[in-house]
Amino acid sequence: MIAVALAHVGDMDAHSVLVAAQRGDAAAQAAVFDAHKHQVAARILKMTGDTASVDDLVQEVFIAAFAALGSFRGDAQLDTWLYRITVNKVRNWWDAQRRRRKRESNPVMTRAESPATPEEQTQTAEHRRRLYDALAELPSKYREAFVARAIENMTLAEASEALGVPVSTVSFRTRKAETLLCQALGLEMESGR
Amino acid sequence: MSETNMEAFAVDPNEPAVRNAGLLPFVEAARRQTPPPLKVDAASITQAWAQRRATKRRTLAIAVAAGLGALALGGLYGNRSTEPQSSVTPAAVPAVATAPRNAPSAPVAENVVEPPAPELEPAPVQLAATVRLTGAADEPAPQYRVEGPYEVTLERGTAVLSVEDPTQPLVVHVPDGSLEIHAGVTQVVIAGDVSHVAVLEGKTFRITRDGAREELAPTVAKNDKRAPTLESPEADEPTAEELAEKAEQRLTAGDRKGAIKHLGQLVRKYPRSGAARTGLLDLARLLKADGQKAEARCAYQEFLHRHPRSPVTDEVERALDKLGDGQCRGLKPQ
Repeated sequence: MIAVALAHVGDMDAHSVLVAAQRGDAAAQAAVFDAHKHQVAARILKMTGDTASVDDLVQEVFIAAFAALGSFRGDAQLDTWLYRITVNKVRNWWDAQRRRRKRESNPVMTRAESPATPEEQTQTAEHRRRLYDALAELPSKYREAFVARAIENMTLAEASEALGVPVSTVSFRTRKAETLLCQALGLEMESGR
Repeated sequence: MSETNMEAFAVDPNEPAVRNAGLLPFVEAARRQTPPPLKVDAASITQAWAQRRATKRRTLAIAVAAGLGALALGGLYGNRSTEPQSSVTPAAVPAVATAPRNAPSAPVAENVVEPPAPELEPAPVQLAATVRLTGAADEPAPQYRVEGPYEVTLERGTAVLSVEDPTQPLVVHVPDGSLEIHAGVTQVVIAGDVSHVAVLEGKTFRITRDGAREELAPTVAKNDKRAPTLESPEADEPTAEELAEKAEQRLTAGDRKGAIKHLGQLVRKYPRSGAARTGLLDLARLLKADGQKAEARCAYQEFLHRHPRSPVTDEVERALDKLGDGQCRGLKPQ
């Protein structure tokens, strides 16, 4: 779910925090970071499935956000704006992963898994690995729509706002992604769709 | 139906995100992920942001100097020297106050308000991949405690500390204060309650217990030449900083090939120095601007090999893509 949560620093309101962060005020930047870091980290993990890359990508997202705060006019919610930055950074990450695998001629992505129970290790982790390996092969726009709708569990309207595309486009891309994923995972296509 | 003509397609606002029941276990597995405890903190991001901005400005200055120098030579390289330097453009540099290059970054940390935000679990304690701590030959082995990926406490002995990433300084706690190693190689000897520090490469700051901060001068030998470094046993050879400075001078004079020569020496002789890190990127860009695309590709590939977790990896990957495929052995095309 998309929700705005901007921490306040002392008597500073949200707008003042953003203006100060834009100027490079460390306390204001820390406030923005602390208010959003866990949500950004959770999203990155759901987008990539790779715990080892979360820290680097969180850093990338916030550095990019601080560098571009001047372009944030408040038309969108800060949370939505950060989501789009995250999507862009993760898209670059997937591209880099693909290039790396191509260069190394290694079709299997090494993926650091979260600590899991034995049951998860036998089934859930395997499902997760296969899903993200299949997601790696999707075009970015399909993958992003599917992650927003299916994995982040956003409504069509929320995904539309977060990705900045019409609702019908989100719907189409999600269905397309689902079809491609089912093919990649060897799942039978269900009728009536 | 293609994406371009689907706008008229009626969408049920409540349509399920996943229709295939067989796919649901996969999606559920992805939903149930728990993010790891974050190692990165606000202070390090603010610091990295400021330093990256300073680096971009320096890169821009080099590009401008190269362009002006080439123009001064009668336009021999005029057209090619205006090649965009990665994503760095005047518009891309935020027009707000920033710390000068190599400025101390400690004040940033002082201003940071750290609200009580407990992590899910303690972060694993180990040094980052860009940091190395080793002993010195014929010296007492170091005894130390790793406090975090970029923080260590030296208790006794002699340690040689190497930091590759200039955006992530290493904080070293010693009995009489602390040190900040921004890039390069520094040797620290703990003798009782006193630390003796020798800066072999790069920049290191000492912060005393009363908060005073000073940059430590590189160790100089008696004959007034730079002391031998870990990577340069010959004291007569130019240091990494000297090679970087010569390269900048050649660029300013419009001598791109001269700059390439010095940068090549820099990255070969001092591969672990902070100067070599930026020097390797500068070398790749200059080689590309000089039409030596195969060599430029090798320089970019070498950068990715040496610094796989660099913040500019994406930019380097994009530059590499534009240069096409090719095999390299180190900096040499095959």
